[in-house]
Amino acid sequence: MKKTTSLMLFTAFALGFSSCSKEDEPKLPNPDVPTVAEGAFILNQGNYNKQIEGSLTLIDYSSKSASQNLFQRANGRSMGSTPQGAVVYGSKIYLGIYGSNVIEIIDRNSYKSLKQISLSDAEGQSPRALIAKDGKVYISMYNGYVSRLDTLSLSIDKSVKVGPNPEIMAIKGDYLYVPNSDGMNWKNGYGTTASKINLKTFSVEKTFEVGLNPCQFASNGTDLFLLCKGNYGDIHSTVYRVDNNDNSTEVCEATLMDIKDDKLYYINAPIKATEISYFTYDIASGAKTKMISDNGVDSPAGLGVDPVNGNIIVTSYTMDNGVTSYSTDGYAKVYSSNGSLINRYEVGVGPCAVFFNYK
Amino acid sequence: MRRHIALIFAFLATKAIVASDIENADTLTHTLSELNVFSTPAPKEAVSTTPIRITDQKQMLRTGVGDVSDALTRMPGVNLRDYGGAGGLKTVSVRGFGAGHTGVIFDGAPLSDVQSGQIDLSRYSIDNVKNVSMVIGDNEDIFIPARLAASAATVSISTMPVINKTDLSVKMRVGSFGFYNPFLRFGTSLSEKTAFNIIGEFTHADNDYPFKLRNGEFTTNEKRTNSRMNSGNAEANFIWKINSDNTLSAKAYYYYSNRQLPGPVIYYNNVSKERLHESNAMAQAHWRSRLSDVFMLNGLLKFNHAVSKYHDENGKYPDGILDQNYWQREYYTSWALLYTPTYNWNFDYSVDYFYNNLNSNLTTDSKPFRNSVLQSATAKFRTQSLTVMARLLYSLYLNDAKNGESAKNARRLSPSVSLAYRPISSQLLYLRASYKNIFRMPTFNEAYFDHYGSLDILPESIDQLNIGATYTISGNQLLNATFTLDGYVNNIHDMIVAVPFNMFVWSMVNLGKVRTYGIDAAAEVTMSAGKKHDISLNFNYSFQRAMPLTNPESSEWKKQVAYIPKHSGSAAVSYENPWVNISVSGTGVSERFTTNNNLLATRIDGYMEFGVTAWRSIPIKKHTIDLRFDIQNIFNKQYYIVARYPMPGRQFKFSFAFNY
Repeated sequence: MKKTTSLMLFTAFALGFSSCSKEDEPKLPNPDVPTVAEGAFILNQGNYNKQIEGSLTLIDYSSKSASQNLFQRANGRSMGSTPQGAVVYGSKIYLGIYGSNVIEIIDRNSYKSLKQISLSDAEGQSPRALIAKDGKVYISMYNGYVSRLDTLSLSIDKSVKVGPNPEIMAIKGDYLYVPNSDGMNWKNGYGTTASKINLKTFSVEKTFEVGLNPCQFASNGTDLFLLCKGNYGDIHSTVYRVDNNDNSTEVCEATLMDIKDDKLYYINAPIKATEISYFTYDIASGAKTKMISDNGVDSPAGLGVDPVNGNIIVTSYTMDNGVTSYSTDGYAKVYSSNGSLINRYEVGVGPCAVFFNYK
Repeated sequence: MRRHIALIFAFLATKAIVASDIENADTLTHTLSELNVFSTPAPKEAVSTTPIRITDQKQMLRTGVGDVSDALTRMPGVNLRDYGGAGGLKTVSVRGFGAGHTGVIFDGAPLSDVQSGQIDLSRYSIDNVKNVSMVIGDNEDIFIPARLAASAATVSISTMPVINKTDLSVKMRVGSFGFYNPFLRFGTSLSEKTAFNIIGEFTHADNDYPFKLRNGEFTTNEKRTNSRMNSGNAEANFIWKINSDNTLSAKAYYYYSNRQLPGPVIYYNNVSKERLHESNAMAQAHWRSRLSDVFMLNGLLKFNHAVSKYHDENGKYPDGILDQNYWQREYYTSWALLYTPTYNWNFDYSVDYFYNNLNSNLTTDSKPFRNSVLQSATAKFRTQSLTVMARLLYSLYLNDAKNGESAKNARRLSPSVSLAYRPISSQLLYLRASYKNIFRMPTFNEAYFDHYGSLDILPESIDQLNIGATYTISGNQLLNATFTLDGYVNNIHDMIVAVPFNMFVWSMVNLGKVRTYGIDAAAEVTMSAGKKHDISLNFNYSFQRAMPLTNPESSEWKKQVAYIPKHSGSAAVSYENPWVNISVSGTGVSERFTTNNNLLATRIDGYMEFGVTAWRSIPIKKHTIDLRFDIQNIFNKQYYIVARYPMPGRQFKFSFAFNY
């Protein structure tokens, strides 16, 4: 009952605002259809056992500068242990802090905490990835749930059980696609299923077979791709295209991916390989072209393509002693949509997730 | 006479390691007094060719030591890893090399853990400990198992000897945070030539101590949760003095612990459901025989079985449960032959064989095992003013695995030499120098653990160089003192480090190179302030500079190795009198970093901690009642030894003992 009310309320607000905007009032953006690209956030997971806190970095496009440690500076306290995923939606940023088992909701401009939701008694626990649509934020929870957070009441209104250890989700049409990595079950060889949640009913409609160790869905609204990390051994990390019947077709080998419009962007940095490849894949033609004009980064940690202006952000760990360092500050390279380098910025330790600041 | 001298040497050589059961051999104790006629009154710490520290029961009281790891941290050069609370994992490392380079000996036989290479010292309470000693480099005692010569540093724990009469000791210790620890020892002679004792002990602690948690600008008062532990051990010792030339002793030991693991402190989340269940059963038998006037034989048989079961509950695991169970087994035998042709010359040949295996419930487990043969040949030359010792250790480690590939084998020859020189015959001043080349085998985790270990991994080697001087004031009614000062350089080659392929897949490589130089200083002074009034001072200080020298391009280059403080030390003053004895002690450790590149965010503050101990022994006829009261961390200082694991604040402990 409660959730229907809030949904109705939200719809009422949304309708109310959009009708206002017609009368020369300043237009309030629809959070589901961003139009202005302002910058990119980098979520740095830190290194908890070495006493390095997670942090939030903002790369501002117009000033071409990076602001570090935004959460700690605004709130005077740590964000918590091992943040994993985040999303900007409306006037707020929603942060999933995996180790601390909390959701932090902060103001998008001041970064002040508006609410910290502790999940220790909740059904869904250990947040991983977040995605937002129609006034709701969906959070994959590593204990096998997807939880729905209402952006008006700022509380979780429902959780549904999916497969084990869900990771990065995508929305295509009215469906939320959830990869069930089963990553904690590595001794029996990871999982091979994904869950398809109907957003109207917020219930699992289907569980279907996919590649080994599914970790990330990506969708442009019409096409759907799935990255399966394999077993870190003989089965390599691979991207599949998932058709409307939820059947997978192999596209390429890749370890990171993102999508915008008619292109899939991917990076392949396989284990023990000396070369890292950066490509875009034209969804219609299947043509693969080089994604960036320089030689990329040392040890890719995250990849994000700005859904508004098409900027490509590649984050990287730094190298120390010739190997990847998980305790030193990483960096991010920002490329324009055509792949030319715009700038390089220092970021925090473990820059694992990229999400965008848009209106 | 010569026969006696040989015995004396044998006695000295074995004293540190087999003190538990040899002391009732009357002939041996009798001859010990003869030794003093032509020996010096300087303690072993002063005359040894390599740095050695010994802490006995009396010393533990004088310095306020409450457990074995505590005793070791009062020794220069030792760094403790302590995760906080009674029964929490405690390991020690010496002079900047990892805990895997410190061998631990329990009543003459080495303890081992092929999985992690680390021995948890929290298992060994001081109630039944006679003394704890530590040798850096070569043990000057040469009549030892070859394996005792196979570590860069060796810690020995010797328990109370089996005595040839009725021996009853009942103890109860209670303390803060739900700590209690009853202890019982009963021993008696079965015949003129046989005696035994049995020991039972139980420990419980809630460990729910408060701590202050700093989070940015805020400090909150928190409490450690999920930290309760129970442990117990039972032991039986048996000695049979077959005849004047042969002694057989045996020990059966069982330990179990069941503890909750509080885990690191995580902001906003204090839920932990981790548990660890461990058990260890061992049986060992020693046979010592004087074969002739010049030959002694020492035989040792041991069986060891250790179980470790880790359990966690969290919805993220398959079926909500994670169980990681490990079983390891060791069969061990050691034979040492001592040849003492003259007073000046001693020779030893020792050969050890041991078999280790590791099984687990992991499907990726290849069930590895290892056969090892170690042989050592040692020569020692000694006069009144000079002791010179040289040893060659030949090690052979043969790895195999039941299901799958095995790690590399290792064959190594490890030389060591040491000497002590007394330049002025009227002064108890000794100069010493030693060199030892040694290595440690990769642990089974380092070699086999899925997505972590590497089958190609080679041993990690150390070259140790030490020079030192000791000075003793002795034989004086009012003042007795020993001062030791050592300087050292260690070079670690082929250091085993984990390198990531990505966050989930790591590999072990022999990449690292570390040079450590440092100074260890110690002073022990006892003053008499009248009859039955003694004041003693104990002091030690260490400077350690441990530098990664792997790669000049690296951010670690010449920084300080993680968790090694540059300065550490302790001091204790005690006043013993006919009323209540009292000691005040303090330990201090300078800042440390959790990373080799010493990033500011990874700094752990230095700390000073102080404690007070009061004790009194009350004789009642032939029996005694011992009372002891401790206040640890008296100023309630919040400090960390391991990042995210706060140490307890002020604690009280009271112990009552009745000795028959």
